Amino acid sequence: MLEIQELTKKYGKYLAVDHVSFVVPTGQVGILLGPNGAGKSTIIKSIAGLLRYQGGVGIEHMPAKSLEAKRVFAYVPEVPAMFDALTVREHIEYIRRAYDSNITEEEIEKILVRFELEDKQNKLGRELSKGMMQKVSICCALTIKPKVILLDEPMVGLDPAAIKELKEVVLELKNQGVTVLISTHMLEMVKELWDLIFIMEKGKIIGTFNKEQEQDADIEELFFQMTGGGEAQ
Amino acid sequence: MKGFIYLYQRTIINRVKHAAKRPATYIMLVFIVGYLALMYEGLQVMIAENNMGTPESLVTILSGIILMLIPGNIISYSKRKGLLFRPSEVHFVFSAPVSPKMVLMFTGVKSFAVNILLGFAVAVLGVLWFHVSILQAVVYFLFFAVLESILEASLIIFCYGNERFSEKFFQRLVIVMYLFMAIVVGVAVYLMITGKPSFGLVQDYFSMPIIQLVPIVGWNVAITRLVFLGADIVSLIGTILYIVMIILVFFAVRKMKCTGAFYEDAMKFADDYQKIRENQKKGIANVPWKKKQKLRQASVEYKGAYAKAIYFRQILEYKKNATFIFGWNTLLCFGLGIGIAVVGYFNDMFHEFGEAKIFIIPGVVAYVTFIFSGYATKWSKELENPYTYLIPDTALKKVWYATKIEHYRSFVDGILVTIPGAIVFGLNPILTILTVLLYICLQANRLYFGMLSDALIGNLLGNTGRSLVKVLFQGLAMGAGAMAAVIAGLFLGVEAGFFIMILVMGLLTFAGAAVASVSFTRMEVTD
Repeated sequence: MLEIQELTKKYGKYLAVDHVSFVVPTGQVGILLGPNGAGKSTIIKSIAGLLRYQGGVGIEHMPAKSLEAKRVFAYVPEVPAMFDALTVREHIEYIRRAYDSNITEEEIEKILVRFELEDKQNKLGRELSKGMMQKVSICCALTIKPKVILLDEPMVGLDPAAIKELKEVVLELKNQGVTVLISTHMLEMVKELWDLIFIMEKGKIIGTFNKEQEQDADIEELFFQMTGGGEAQ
Repeated sequence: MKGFIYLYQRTIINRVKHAAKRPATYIMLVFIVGYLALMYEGLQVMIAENNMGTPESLVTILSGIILMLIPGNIISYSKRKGLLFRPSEVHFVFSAPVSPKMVLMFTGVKSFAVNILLGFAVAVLGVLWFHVSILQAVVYFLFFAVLESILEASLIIFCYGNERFSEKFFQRLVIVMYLFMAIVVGVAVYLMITGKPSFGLVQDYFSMPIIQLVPIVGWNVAITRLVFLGADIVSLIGTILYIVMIILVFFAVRKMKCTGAFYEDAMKFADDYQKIRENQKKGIANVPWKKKQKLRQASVEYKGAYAKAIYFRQILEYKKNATFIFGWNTLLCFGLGIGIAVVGYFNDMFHEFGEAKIFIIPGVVAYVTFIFSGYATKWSKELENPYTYLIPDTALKKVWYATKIEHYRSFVDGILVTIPGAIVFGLNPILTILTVLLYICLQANRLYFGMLSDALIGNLLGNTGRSLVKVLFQGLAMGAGAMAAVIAGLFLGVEAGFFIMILVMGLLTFAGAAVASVSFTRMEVTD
């Protein structure tokens, strides 16, 4: 479960996130939608503990900044950054040790195969393309075996096969009871994934939709209904 | 913790393995060993000649270093710029289930390692050069490796991890530290001006009891004196205060609450540092005080097509800058010009150099051009822009129009560097113009030969290798110019030699530009 209460973030005088509150219940996929500059990444970075903020963030009923919460939490940033001198496999091994994860060698192999990294395990971080870095970043997040996972624009830079795989992974995680929050502005990519949608504009949540209530609603329609754009499309 | 140990272990092993495979590593090693050997010999001779080979001299030198180093560290940590964070650490370390204090210690390991190395160097050189006993050297090393590292770790946690004191507190702390350093330097300068400048004077200054009673910094000096010169009442009090302070600070920071609020600053620093590293890789000098410039409205009339468009687009970009094509480099050139004039005037170079005085400014300029790597200008960004390669025009024209403004800039810089010295040395107008032309030529030489070595070497020898080849090309062109000047000077006179030098360098530079234009044929060359 992921709980955000009255989250507010200012950069100097600029109010990037304005008293945002929402909850993604256990085993559900929440989508943070919004145009560029809406404040999505700021919320994700605040949840990940990378920014100072006002308000509260709870992960599995624990304060997000506690070590207990961090142990069950994974984060895939928008721009992945690798350790220059570590190979793909060493990145995974580092995460396994840092989180004391009980993931087995077979499970690691499976993840690497799914994201077509099995033959690139010995490549150094600095030798990877942006897309490959994104794949490694996702594999590292899965190595944690998290209970809550944040994905910030995860489809950017991925090839079609990896996007398909990632969508399947998200649905599998959901079935395993993992709470997922995805921040994106690519509506098409999250059509079949969502349980909850939080539509953001100018640092505020302007609409929340639940799949159970919105049965046949189209994600694009819901989005443009709230933001008022899209007529030209 | 297990993760951190693994991270360091693998990083070191992989880096060593990678370095061992690169020829540039061995070239660099030869340079470093040679440089260190020269330094060792040179300093040893200097110490012996000045009768400085005593424990007292070592204490004086260390006191000076301590009085600057500790406040310097406090300043950088208070500004939250003392630790090097990388984007990869932001990604994989900050979100890991490790306490933020541990993250700070993980990053601070590099500083502690430097402490240990410094302590070791002081201990060894203390025995070899300053005749301290092995026991004293060992005790000082232990002090450096243990107590200094504890102090450094505590400072890091206090400055980064402190979530109780406001930003203003640390801003004031920085001001206090700067003031302290200014007072230390100010008093030293005052003593040098009013008394007879000598090492003994510095020795007396740092021996003053009041220095040893300044909190933290002075107490550190006291412990150094205690180890190397034996105990006296002041050094004993200072040492006790230092040890008590370290124990108190250690427990205070251990107890201090830290939830990781510094991650935000560290993340920003990591991004900035990444940009600095990228610039360094391209051989561009970084200006630490440079802020993001505000751009103003501007327009330009494109008087021409194809490659000329690059030139007019650059003009448009520069017109949006408040200082047009000028910047800190223009000021540096003016400062250099004034410097040459002042030094020349006070050392009576006008008479001392005779006819050869016309080579003073070119000599200084050539040296400065040779040692500085360059700074970011619009032209270097052209190579990163795919449109540069797509414009249907010849590579040579693209080189010319992409770098045309650089020559205008060099012209202005050349005037600033030349005029003050030209007045002092009494150069006639023709020689003054020739000196300015030579400056333009030297700058063009650096630009095109740099481009040429990038195109020829690529990533074959790494950044270091590429820089060395750049310097080699530049050196060859300058050497050829100088040789032509000497030969022509012997047969035709000094002024003719000067003109021939410009001619030779100009021709070589043009040849370099023509060959370097290969950089503008395809983007792959710069990859």
